[in-house]
Amino acid sequence: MTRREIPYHLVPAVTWVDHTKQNVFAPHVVYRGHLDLRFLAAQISLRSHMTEADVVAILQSFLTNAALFLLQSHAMRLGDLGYLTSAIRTDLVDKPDDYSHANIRKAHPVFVPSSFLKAQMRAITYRKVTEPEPEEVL
Amino acid sequence: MAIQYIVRKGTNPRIPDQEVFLGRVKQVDAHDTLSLAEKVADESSATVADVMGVISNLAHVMQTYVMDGYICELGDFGSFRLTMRSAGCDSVEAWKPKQFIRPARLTFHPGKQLRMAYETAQFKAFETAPKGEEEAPF
Repeated sequence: MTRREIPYHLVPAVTWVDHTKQNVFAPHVVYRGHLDLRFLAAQISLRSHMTEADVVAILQSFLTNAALFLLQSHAMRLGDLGYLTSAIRTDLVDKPDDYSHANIRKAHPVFVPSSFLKAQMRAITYRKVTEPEPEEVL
Repeated sequence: MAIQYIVRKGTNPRIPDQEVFLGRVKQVDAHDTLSLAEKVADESSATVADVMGVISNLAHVMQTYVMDGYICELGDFGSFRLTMRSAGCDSVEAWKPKQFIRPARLTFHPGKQLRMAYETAQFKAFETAPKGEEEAPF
């Protein structure tokens, strides 16, 4: 397992434990850059016999199907990455018969990382930076 | 197409002794990479093996880049990124990484289109088949 070092800087934050506390600081990851679907497709294409365009088409079809599955109460296991499922935020009621669709405030997707990924994340080390480094353009 | 839910007994975090009921998403099915690949291959000229290869590579490539501090954006579906967790620190000077930092987390942020799909999602109470009317396994 390779040890990775993540740069971070401290930013003003709000603590949910004690709302009366002001001027609290929390670490924030300094991201190295954004990678889009085309870049990821190019990387996948390098590892296979398929062209970048073929990989993009497969990924777009996969993501469309993934969204449809999520909206149909299906969960998806994505190998070593983890799994995706849906969750709801809801009001509490006193009796089960009182519960209806109207009590659901919001639905949203939830990602749960795999145990393999969690183990990898425990091996991460952190490096504090005072000024965020500019993001790389890939 | 609807997100299905069941009503479960729970506890009110503000009044722990109070018995309350709330809705939870009922996972009606779970898909692994093979079943997702079969679905995508049905809709394209690619073979199941090709799609399996792309999905497995996507998980591997994303995992590598996310752990290196990049944000992986999957178009309108959403993005994966590493986030940090910590206890709030009163001042920048009092910051001690070993004392405050908790293990990092891999988070999924839904894209605009997926968020909109969830906002307009329909909900349906999960109904179990009455006893005696269940489908025979063969």
